[in-house]
Amino acid sequence: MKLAGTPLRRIMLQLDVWFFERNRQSSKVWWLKR
Amino acid sequence: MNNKKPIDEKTGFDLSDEFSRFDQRNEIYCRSEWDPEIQSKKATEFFDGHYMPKARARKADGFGQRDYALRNATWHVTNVLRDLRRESDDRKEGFFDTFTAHEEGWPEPYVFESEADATKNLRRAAKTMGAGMLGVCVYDERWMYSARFSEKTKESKPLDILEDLPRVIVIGEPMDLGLTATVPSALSGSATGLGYTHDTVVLLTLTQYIRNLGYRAVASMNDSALAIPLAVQAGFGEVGRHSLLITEEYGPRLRLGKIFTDMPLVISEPKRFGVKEFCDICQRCSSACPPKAITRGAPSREAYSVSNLNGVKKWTTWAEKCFRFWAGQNSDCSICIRVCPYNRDFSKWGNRFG
Repeated sequence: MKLAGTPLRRIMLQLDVWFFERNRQSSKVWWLKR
Repeated sequence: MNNKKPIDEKTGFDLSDEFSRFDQRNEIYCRSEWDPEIQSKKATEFFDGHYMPKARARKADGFGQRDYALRNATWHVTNVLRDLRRESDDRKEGFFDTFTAHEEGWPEPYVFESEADATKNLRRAAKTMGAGMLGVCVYDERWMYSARFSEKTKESKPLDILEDLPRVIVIGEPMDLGLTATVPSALSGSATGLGYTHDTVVLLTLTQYIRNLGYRAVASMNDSALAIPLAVQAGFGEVGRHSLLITEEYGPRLRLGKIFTDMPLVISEPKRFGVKEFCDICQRCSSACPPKAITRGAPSREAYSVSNLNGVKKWTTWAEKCFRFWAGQNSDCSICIRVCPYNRDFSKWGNRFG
């Protein structure tokens, strides 16, 4: 199936959907990083 | 009007005979100004909250005073330019009306060696000004609003774009990834505000540059035309399940602007890189959407209300559910943008392979 662009990007996007649902970064974290 | 065009084969747009141009008055933000079904105390408070005295800061993470302080500051420049002729001439520029040209350009057009040369020069200028993306498409009346919205009368008024400007330059300004990751919060609205502000500055500067070269150019942001189909035709990317534009470079985090011009330029080729096929199987935005405003089904021609485009086969968002939710939380929602897998940070080498 044609997904997104090249093979590695396709794999990474698919892995992202399966495993890497990232939690929301809090605003506190955003401010602390700056 | 001929609803089908040869470019549809490249973009994948599927228009039926029922298609009709969209009246901006039916857009959900405009409806919040005249339609009792959409108007609410919370919607009013949401709009008023973009000014500090009515920001309703609270202790919750992301909704404190400094979060609103930043969010509202990022809108400031856009607001100033938007309101220059708002009271006097019923022009909300950048949103309901095109931007006014405040300076005259050069009387004779600069002669470039070729269209390719002109395009290269324009791209270089746009990059210098801070544009994230630039593409060019042919003027397409299908995506022009049938009318624009008058804030004063709450009625429709005719467009002021001249139809003899044959090309549209589309500009894309990326939204900050870190700020978007704090969605839902008032702070995350800073990504939107900054996107608009950068967009406004680049649009006005580039438009003046084109006029100074001796060509005609009109700067437009959310007004006058649907930006997403024009961006797709200008080679930015494809439309995703959340009805937003997805680009290879910035995923769905992009604010769009357009310049209508007669400058001779090379027309960009639409780009398809598998978004449709990916969104077919990925349900992340529709699963994450709290009011379930994003469809889980296949693309269809179903329009939920007057705020949806008629006769186009696509994933359609339930605008009323979407707007009610974000007005209710007193800040932009953008959860669908945050959870989209295309948000991978492609500036990192590990994500850029291939």
